[in-house]
Amino acid sequence: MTSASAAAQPPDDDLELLLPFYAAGKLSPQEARRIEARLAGDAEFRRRLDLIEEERGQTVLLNDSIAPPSSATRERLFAMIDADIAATPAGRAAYQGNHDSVAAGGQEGLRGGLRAWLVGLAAAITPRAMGYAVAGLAALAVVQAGLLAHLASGRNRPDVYVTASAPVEPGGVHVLARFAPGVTMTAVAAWLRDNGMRIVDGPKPGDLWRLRIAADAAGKEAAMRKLQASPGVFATVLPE
Amino acid sequence: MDTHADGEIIRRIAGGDKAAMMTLYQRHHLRVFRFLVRMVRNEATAEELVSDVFLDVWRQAGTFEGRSSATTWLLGVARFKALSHLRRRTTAPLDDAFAETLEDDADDPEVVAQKTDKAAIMRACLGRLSLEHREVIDLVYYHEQGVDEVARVLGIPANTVKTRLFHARKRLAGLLAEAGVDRGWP
Repeated sequence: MTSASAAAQPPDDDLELLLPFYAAGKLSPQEARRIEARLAGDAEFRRRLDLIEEERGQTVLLNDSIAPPSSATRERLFAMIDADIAATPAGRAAYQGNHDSVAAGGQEGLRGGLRAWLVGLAAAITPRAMGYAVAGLAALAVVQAGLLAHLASGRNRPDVYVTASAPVEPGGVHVLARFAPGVTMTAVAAWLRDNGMRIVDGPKPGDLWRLRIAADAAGKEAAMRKLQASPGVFATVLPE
Repeated sequence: MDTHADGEIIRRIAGGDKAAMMTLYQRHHLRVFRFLVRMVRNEATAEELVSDVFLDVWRQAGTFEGRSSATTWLLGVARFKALSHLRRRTTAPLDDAFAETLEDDADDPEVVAQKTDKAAIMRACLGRLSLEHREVIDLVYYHEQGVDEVARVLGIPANTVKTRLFHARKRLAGLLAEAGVDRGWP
């Protein structure tokens, strides 16, 4: 398959069509192995994966830029549900039963509610966020320094780390980055510290992390060169 | 997203548990809202549709069989609501095929290109894709749905999912090229 032959029509080669799903981590292990075998010996195929990663990163940013709906949306929904319950004897009975059981549950019910709320809130942030948030909260509880959470789930995911309590900083130059497979906590933390950078958000879909790399545009180019010159730490770096 | 937990939550909703409904809403409303905003391109409309989607879930939770994930199910309901809204909005009957090929020219990437960088140009081009193309891009890249899951949401065969995504990416490359960004593909 050459790049020219892919121009007009979808390629006959199924691997080409599956490559975006590979990037999203949504292939079976067998399909992923086929892709990886092709990637190992085909530089053009690897370049196309890079293009897909670029598209994916910007799609994530575009969607993440959409602010959450107003609280009025939820209020409207539950007003409609209350009306539904009131209009339906069966619904009224069912709701009353659950209401009673929650009340009888007392503190346990409250704990369960809080847990559900926390889980729900975390999941609402971004796709896959619940798993990451749970890992982040666990790390926060264990590590009083509270800055690094070890996340090890997912296909081909490297051991990556995040500053769990990093504040969102206004201004500055940011990029999206994916850490290199196998990079260690020590290496990431040391590299970022030595180069005056920090994680400000993540992980986002695609195991991407938002890094603040410079205080202003003047420092952007030098920072990008440092990132790109460190393939042992960063597998992918996408400008924002 | 824990699909087992979602299944249990939906089972409780089917039994009339309003607290479970609140949990499901908290877990999924932002994802559903963003999907709807990208489809209907209007946040106020998307907010109304989010309520409609979850009201349907409240009323129809008993029909959820767990053959797909809750995420896939919700995105499918959301897409149905969005398409229904888009059909109602038009004064004349809107042919599906035509509607799904409409592109937005509000965010002209050539204009963006004059004052910003490649990443911003790509986001402008992503926003300019047709409904058919941006929904498949979003489902794979942002909502992390697999081939079969996208097929369920869109109601098309799995092979069509793969070729549709290819064409969406190809169209994106075309828009980028028009804006002066040549990536050497396709």
